[in-house]
Amino acid sequence: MQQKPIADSLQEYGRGVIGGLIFSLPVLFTMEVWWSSYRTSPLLLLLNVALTYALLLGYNAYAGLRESASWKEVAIDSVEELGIGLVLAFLFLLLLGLIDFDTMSLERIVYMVITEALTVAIGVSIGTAQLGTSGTGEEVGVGMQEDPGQKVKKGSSTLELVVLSVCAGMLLASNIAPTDEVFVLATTIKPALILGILLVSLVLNGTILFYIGFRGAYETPANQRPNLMEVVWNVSITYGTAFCVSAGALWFYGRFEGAGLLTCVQMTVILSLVASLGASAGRLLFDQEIDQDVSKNEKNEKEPA
Amino acid sequence: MKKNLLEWSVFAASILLLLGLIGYLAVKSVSYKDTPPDLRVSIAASTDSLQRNIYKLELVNKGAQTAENITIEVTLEENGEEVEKTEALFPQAPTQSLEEAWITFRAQRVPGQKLKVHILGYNRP
Repeated sequence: MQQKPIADSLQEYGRGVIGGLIFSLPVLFTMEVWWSSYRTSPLLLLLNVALTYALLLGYNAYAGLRESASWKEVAIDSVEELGIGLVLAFLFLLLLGLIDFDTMSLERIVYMVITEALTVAIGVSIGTAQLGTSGTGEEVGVGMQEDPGQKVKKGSSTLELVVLSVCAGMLLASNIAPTDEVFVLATTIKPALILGILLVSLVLNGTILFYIGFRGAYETPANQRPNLMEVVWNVSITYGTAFCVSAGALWFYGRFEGAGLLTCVQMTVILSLVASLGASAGRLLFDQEIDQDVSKNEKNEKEPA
Repeated sequence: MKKNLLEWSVFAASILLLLGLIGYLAVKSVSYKDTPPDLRVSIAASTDSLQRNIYKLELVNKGAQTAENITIEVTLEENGEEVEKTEALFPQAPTQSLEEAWITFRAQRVPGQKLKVHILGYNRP
């Protein structure tokens, strides 16, 4: 098997670094995130490292650069992305003057870096897969062993839908979840508006997934309009995922501490407006690779050799 | 396509970093106790170019929970009598970390002055 040129690897890492920065700089610049690292426990951080690794595995398996990669390759890539995310978060916190070796304990530095790095790592993963040109056949196509039918099946699985929704939803939600504004909104808003936010989120999800023709949006095999059950099924899964992602992000950043059940629910619904946009529109954008390949395969099927 | 030396190096560094962090967090998890803020203050004379009566406060939180909005009162005494009082505010005191603040008195520094430090209050975030 031919060895990959180092120049290609450097380019790929460069895309990962830039992607990590594009998607996570808002988090690195948010003081509530720095503060949330003061309140977190080591067990919660361990849990989050594990969950982030699982998310990276899922993203790399379903929408990564080498979609045909084996689980071993996906696992190795995910470790690399987590490592790059940690180093990147450390360097940028250092650059921003947020890490001070004279006054900060090792514990505080480590906790702050890990808290920030998890979002950076997802950004690195998405940057690596999405920011490159798809013209290099090696990256997209080398080692493909699955037939087109398998790929279409893989591309439309519920698990993939959930995994990509979680990644994209988390990327957007993690920028807003730690801020005080979500709590302020949840404690001052009228209940009717909470219902309004919920309904608008659902309508936006349905519109993005089925009606405005986003690239990669849902299409039935025969290009027929989706039936009501398909709309309800997809919107439910997307919104449900966004709701869970929002609740998880709020919990991780300590926003539920001391808040009543109603406030927690209201905060989650408010954040779900953002997360569900990621879970629907973001997911479709991140899933272009598979979609392109599917369309290529469809084209190949239509054009006899 | 086979991974090259650079990619294997990045992977090796990443796995070492991750294993190190996981080990560190695992050890911390075992010894972790959710103790309330435990604030310790130390004070030392400081100087500036105008020779004002300045002192440096160092605040360390030995507890596991972060304290917020910490108000510290410092009383200046001369010959056992209170001369002046001042306060220092610390927005945050995370666990095991050092926070610094400086206080100034109007009274000039003279030999025999003593300081009394008292933590007026704080809250949890």
